[in-house]
Amino acid sequence: MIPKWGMALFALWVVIDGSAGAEDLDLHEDEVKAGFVYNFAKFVEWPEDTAHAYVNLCIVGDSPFGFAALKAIDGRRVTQDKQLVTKLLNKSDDLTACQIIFIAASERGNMAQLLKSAHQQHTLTVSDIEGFAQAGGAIGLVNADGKIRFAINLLAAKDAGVLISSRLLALAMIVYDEHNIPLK
Amino acid sequence: MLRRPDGACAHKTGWDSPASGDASRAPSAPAGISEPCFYKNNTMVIMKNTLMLTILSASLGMAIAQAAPEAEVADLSLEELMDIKIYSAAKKEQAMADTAAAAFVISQEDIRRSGATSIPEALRMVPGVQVAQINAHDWAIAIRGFNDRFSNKLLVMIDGRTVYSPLFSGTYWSAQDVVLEDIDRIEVIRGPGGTMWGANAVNGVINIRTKHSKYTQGGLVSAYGGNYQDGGAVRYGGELGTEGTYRVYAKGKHHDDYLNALGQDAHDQWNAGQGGFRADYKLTPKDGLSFSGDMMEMAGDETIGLRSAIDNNMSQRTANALAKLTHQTERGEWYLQSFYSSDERNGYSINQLIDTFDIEFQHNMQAGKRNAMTWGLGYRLVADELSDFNGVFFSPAQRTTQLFSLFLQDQFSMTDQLKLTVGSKLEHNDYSGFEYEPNARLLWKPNENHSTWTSVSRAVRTPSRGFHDIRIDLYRIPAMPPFLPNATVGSIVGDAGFKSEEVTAFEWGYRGQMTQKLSFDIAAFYNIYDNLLSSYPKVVQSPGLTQNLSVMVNGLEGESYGAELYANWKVTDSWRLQPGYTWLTVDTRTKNNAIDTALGLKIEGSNPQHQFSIRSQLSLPHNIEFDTTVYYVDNLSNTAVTQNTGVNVANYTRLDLRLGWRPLKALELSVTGQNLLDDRHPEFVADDLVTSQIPRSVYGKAVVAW
Repeated sequence: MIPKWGMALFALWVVIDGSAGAEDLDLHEDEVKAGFVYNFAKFVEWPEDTAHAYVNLCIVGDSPFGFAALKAIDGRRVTQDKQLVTKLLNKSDDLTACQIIFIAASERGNMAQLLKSAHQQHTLTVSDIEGFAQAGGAIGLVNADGKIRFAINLLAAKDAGVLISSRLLALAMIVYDEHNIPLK
Repeated sequence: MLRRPDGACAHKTGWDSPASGDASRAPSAPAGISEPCFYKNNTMVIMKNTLMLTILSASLGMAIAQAAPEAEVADLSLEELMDIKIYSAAKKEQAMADTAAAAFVISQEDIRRSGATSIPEALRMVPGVQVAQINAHDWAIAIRGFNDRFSNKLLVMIDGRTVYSPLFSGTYWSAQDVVLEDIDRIEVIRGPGGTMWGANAVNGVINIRTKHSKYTQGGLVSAYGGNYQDGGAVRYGGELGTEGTYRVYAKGKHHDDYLNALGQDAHDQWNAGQGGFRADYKLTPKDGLSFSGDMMEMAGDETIGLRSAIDNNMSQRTANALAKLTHQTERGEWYLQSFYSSDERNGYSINQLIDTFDIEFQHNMQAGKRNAMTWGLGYRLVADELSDFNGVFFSPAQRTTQLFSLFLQDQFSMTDQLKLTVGSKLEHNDYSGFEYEPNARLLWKPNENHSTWTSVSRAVRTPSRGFHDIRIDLYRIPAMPPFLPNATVGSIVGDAGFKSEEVTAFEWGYRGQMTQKLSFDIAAFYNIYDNLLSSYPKVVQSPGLTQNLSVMVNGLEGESYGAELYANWKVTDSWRLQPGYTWLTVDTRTKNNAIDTALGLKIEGSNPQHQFSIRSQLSLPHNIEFDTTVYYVDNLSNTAVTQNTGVNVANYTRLDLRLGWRPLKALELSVTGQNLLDDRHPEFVADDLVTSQIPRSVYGKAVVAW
């Protein structure tokens, strides 16, 4: 009895397995966010004098990225000759070597200070703190019904002297223009 | 023939003596009782593991060859990333919230803040679950009634591995442990889960899931000590090459004696130690392979209360190994899992050695737009070897049984809001033959914030080895001619004709997200039981001997009904309140000439009619946490048992408090007080053990992680 059932089910499986459907990767929130940050690095240009072989991603505060998330992006090539390197910083550490800083939620209180010094250092500021882009950060990650979106603040990018590709602007959920007015 | 427990095994301690390993004690070993010593079995574990690994490596090669390389997170484009539904604790709870069943998830955070030092203690928080401690190392845990020391209508799994004992279909809770910090979540399903999970999932399923090893990287040391218990755990996780991660752990604990009802030493202290590992490899972005294994040894005292209080020493040793291969297909996933476990327990009446081998395959897939199908196949082999004494006899002493199972379930989306799930399991076991366990479930979710569901399902508890083959001699009166020409023996005997116990369950539930901060969950049920265990009297006269037998029979029917209600209220960002209420009534009647009303009374009185609880989790400045739980548990009206033992389980109110402080990111300190309102009280009366009183206890704990 069982072999018959088994065969019938197997046949059914083979037939059904040929059709198309949606895929659900088993990824944690921090891994998806890390994927975003890595992609941002591809679509941002820094001023000439800060060009290095590495794009240093400095995470300030209590890192929301777990081991798996950091491992997935650390050492990855951003362009032909640039590699992403992740660093965990204490808030007292020097930000000069960072091309991107990710401001963890624990640093909400120091945000204004961090943004100011980061922008002076030509650093792209990224965070998942709520309302980050509106508050003057360059790119803010937003959780929209379980999917990650992002908002861009052009004033912050201009302050930092970094160029954000039009491709990123096209995909952004909200873009704040140079007068901090939401464009979309 | 009476054998002493202490003579049964030449050495009782240590993992360290595999020297004279004798592999002849395989399941097919010739009749005759060999000594159930663990070292022999240990050798078998290694041999079987090697074999299992070889088989899996072979099938693995195929999987690697077939799987196309696929993107991992850094290779995904922004568009692809934007399309991923993120996997977070909230989503896991959401997934459970979309099932047409009464489900509850205990998160890692819930466990940490409950102050629990064991899995049974963590289960206290779940509405619909009754956790009653019998003594320092035994618990009676049940979902929706029928509680007992070996509550047999409950399926318990750790990472998909069945851990209930096939001997009585009950769970030895003291032998089930993991590093609590490594638990990802505990899923508790109330109501029959027979279609997906199979026999024993009559009234509920408890599935303990540990974290993937990539989420337990680095070291962790935890230690606790208090007025009744001390213990600690060490865990370290690292990488295996570029695509693998692992963790290894060891933990140990000691529990002091409680007091009995007379205020005397309850003689129930115990010690346990265990160690294990888990390794996860990513073979391709779509194929994963996991291995895990654990070994546990515990030993302690217990007070047997069959006729009078007898001090006894018991011990248990278990080992298990599991391998699981998962593959993501274009529109679903499948897994192939196999485990082997060995369980040796030396008790007062039985020394048992049980080997279990299990292999199962399960495939979930989206079939077209409207159907999500799940099907699976399973095979389990259980080989036992029992030595019995002190009036307990098993015939035969060794037995090997097989279980075949097959299930198919389809979730059909009738509209976007209405989902119908229909499926059945078909099983064949050596005791009762073919069994089917169908269910039909309907979920209506008109919007994101509200859903309601209803279901009809059938599940069975297949006869266990105990009910099939046991004889328990209760008394023996020698012949005294001429007044008593015959010797008289009074016994309880199992019956080879014992059929499965059955339930047909009607359930309804509602979940609502009232506001951003307040959610509700209500479930109600009406269960109809048939063919429950009872007994009928039978007198057998033979020359020189009169046997007064109580023969086990499917002699009870009945029903249970009740409701569970809980809410989750985020009062502020730093304060969460979770009230819960459980209402439950069970009624039974005898049938089929059974006249044993005691078993029915015992069932009816084994659960409290009302249980309330409220949990409060308060996060204060400076990384301080203050957590409070209050439980109210109604009395047990277990007259059949209390008449024998004189112990009454009155209603009680229990207060647990925890004060936690995280002075550094890597360090957490806490103090927990349990059962603070009462010096001590009993929570349950088991037939065969003298009940201990559960006392007020306090302990301090430190956890360092890096």
